[in-house]
Amino acid sequence: MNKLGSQDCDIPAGARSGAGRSSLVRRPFAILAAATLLLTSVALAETRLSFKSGQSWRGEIADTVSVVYVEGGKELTLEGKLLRADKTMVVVEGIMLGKIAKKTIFFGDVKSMTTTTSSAPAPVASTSGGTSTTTPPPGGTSGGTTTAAPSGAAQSAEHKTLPANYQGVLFLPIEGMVGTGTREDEIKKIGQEADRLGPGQIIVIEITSPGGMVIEADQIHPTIMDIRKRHRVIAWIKEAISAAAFTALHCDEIYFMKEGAMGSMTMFAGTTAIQGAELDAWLKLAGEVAAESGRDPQIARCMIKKSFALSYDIPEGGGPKDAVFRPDTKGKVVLDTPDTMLTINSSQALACGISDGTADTPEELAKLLNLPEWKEVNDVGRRLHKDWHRTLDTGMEEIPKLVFRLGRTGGIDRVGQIGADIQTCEKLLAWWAKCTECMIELSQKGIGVPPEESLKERLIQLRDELAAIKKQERDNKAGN
Amino acid sequence: MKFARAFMPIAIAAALAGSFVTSSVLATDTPSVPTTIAVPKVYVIPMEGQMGTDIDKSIYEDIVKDVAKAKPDIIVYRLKSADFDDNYYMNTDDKREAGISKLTDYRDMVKYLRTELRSYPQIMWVNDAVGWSALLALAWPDMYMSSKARLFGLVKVSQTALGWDDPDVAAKMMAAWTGIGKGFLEMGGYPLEIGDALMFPKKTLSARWEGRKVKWTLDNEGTWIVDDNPERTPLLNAQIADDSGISDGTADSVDDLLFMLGFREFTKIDSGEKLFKSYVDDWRRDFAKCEDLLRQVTDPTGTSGDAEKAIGKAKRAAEDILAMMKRYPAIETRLQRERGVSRLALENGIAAAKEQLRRIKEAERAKGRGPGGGGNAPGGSGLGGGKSK
Repeated sequence: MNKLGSQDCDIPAGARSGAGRSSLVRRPFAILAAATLLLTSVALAETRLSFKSGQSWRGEIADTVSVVYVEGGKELTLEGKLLRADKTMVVVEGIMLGKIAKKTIFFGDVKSMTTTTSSAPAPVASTSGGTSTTTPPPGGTSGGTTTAAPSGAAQSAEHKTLPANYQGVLFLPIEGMVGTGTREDEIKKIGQEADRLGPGQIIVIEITSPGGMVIEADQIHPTIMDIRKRHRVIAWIKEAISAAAFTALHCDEIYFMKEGAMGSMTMFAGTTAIQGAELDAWLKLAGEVAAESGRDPQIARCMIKKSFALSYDIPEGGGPKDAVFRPDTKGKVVLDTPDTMLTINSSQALACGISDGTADTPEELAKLLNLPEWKEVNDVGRRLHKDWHRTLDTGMEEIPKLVFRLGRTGGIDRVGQIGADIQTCEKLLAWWAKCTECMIELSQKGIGVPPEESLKERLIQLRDELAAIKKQERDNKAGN
Repeated sequence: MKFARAFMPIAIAAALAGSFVTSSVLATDTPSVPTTIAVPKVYVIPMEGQMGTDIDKSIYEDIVKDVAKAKPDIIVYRLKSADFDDNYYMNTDDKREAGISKLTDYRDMVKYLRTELRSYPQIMWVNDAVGWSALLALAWPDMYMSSKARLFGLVKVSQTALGWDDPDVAAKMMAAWTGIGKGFLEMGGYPLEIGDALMFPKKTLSARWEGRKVKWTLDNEGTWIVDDNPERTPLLNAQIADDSGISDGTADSVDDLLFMLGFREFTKIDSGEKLFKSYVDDWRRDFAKCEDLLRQVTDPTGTSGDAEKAIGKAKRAAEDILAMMKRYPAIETRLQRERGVSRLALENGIAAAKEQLRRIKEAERAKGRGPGGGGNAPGGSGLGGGKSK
C-alpha cells in the first residue's frame, strides 16, 4: 500500500546477490563515502558569505581582510588574517591594543568584509560557457541563522543571460522510483548530449519521482555536479520526494509545477531511519549539496530529520531570495516544526526563494527562464526517457510471467520440460542484463525473481541434465 | 452563523487576492468566465461515483476529445462522490464503493484536465465530496457547492502514511503523502492550512482577516473557529465553505450556478454526461459479469468430468475477465481489491491452462486414448480442470 514505503530501502538481498550492474552491488549507503570526499574538498576551497547588510564577500581562509562589525552598539573595523569565516562566526587574527590577538566576531554582527590581500591567485572560471563553480561554506551543522541563497541568486542572474550558442533547451523527463524509472544513466546521457552541443546548454529535468535507492542517488550526485560545471541545470518539479528531492537540490535552479512537492529525504534501511555517523554524513552531504546550489543547508537538514525545525523572515524591502532562515519556529513563517518532516509545496517554496518560480507548462517555464520561447534543441531527452520506460514497462510485464513459468512448462516428457526451462532461464538472464532495475523493483514487490547467479547455476544444471538424457538416449540406441 | 454576511466581502477579496500573480508564478489558471456572451454553451463533466473507478482518467480522455468537438464557452465539473452517507452512526455504507487510494493518479488526472482544457473557463461544482474526492473539489480555483454538499474526508491522505514505527520514517511518509495531497490545494489556490486541517485530525482551524485578506491559522485563535476539535478533522459543508470564502457560492442546480455566474440563459451540452453514464454503466455491467466468470474459473461445472473441457471453459472465462480488465481499468481495480484477482494472476493462470491442455493432447496422442489429466509434470496450478481425474 505504501508506495513510498519501500523506496529508500537497501536492495533485497536476493536481488543484490545477483546484480548484473556493477553499481548495484555496492554496499548500502555508499553515498556516505561521497560525503567524506566532498567535505575534504570544502576545507581547501573558496568561501562565500552574504551579510545582513546585503554585502557579499568571497575569498579564502588566510586572506588578509578588513572587517566592519558592531560591538556594544558601536561600529568597529579590524584588519588581520582570516582564520575562520562561516555563517556562525568570523575569526580574525590582528593587532589589538598593540598585541597580535584573535578576535571572534559573531556572523550576525559583521556588517561587511573585504579582502585586502588575497592568499591565493585570482580565481579562474572553470569553463567558458557554463557556470563558474565556487565551493560554499561547510553548511548544515552550524545551526545558526543564515541568509538564503546569496550565491544562488547571483548564479540565477548570471544564468538568465542566454549563451551566444543558444539554440533551445535540452529536456529530460525523469519519472518513477530512483534506481528504476529515474536513473543516473539518462542524466549522464543528456549531459553528454549537452557537451556535444557545446558549453552553456540549458538542461531542464522534469522530476516526477517518489524517491528510491540511495545507491542510485550516490551516482546521480557526481554526475549532476559534473554537468553543472559546463551547463545550466534546471529542476522542474512535479514530485520530488526523498532521493528525488536530493536530485533536485543539485540543480542550479528549481522550478515547481503548481502541484509540486519536494522533501522527505530521510534515509532508512528496512523500516528504521539511519542514525549516528551515517546520519551525520547524510545531513552533511545534503547540506553541502543545497549550499553548492545556493540554497540554505538547513532546508535539506529539515527534510532528513524530524527533530529539526525551520522558519524564516524576510527583511523589510527584501524578496523571497532574501529570506533569512533559522533553525527554530521563531521566524515569521514556519516551514517545519520539531515534530514534522519538511516536504515543501510550490507556494511555500516560492515565498522563501527555495523555488525560482512556478510553471505548469513548458511555455510558462520558458518565460521564467527568460527564453524567447519553449524550444527544444532536439528530442534526445524525451527519447531517452521513452526508450528506457518502454524497456521498463515491457520488463515489468514480461518478467513475472517468466518467473511463473519457470519449472511449469514443457510438455509431458522431461526433455521438453528442460528445454522450456532453459529458454525461460535464458530469457530471465537476458532481462538481468537488460534491466536489472526491473528485477530489483519486482523483487521489492514480492515477485520471486531468482537472483542472477542462481539462474546461471540452474542453467548449467539443466544443460547438464539435458546432455545426460541425450547421452543416455544415444547409449540406449547404441545398445539396441 | 453570525459571521456569515461579514465574510462575504472577504471571500471576494480573497478571491481577488488569489488571482494576484507574481512574476515568478506563471502557472496560469483557466480563463475567466466570459461576460460578453449572452447565451453561453455549458459543457458539464460529471465526476460522480467511486473515486478510482467511476472517476478515472480513462473516461476523461474521451470526454476531453468530445469537448474539443463541442467547443463550449464554460466547463462545469459536477462532483458527487462520497465514501459514506450522512447517517454516520448506522454504518450502512457499502465499503466496496469507498474511494480507492490512488493519490498520484488523481493528481495526474486533475493536471490532465486542467492542462488539456486550459483554454476554457472551468468551474468546480461540488454536490458532495467526502473522501479522496475532496481533493478534486479543492483543485480548481472557482468552486461552488450545492446546499447539502459536504467537503471533508481527507484524513485518508494522512492515513495512507500510517504504519511506520520509526519516528523519522513515519514523519517522512506523513510529510510526503500529505505534501502530495496539498499539491491539489496549490492547484486550486487554497491556503495550505485548510489542507493541513482536513488531513490531520490533531490540527484545529480558524480564520481571521488581515486587512482585506482572510488569514487561516491552525489554532483556535481566529475570529472564525472552523474546527476546535483536536481529535477529528473539520466537517466542512456548503454553509461553512460559503461563509468562510472557501467556496465562491452555493448553487443547487446548473441553472442557479449559471445565474450566479451572470447568465440567465445558457445552452447545456450533455454529450459529456452521456459519455460518462455510458462508461459507468458499461464497466459496472461487465464487472457484474465477472462474478459469474470467476465462478467458472474456479469451478467449471457442466463439463461432465471432462478435464479438457473443464480447463478450456475455465481458460475462456479467464480470458473474458482479462479482456474486460484491459478494457476497463476499473474492473481490475475492483477485482484486485475485492477478490485479490490481479491481471498477472489471470495471465499466469491462462498460460498454465494452455500448458495443461497441451499436455492433455500430448498424452492423448501418446496413449492413443481419452483424456488423461495433467500428466505427471510439474505445474498443476492452472485454471479449473483439477477435479476431472
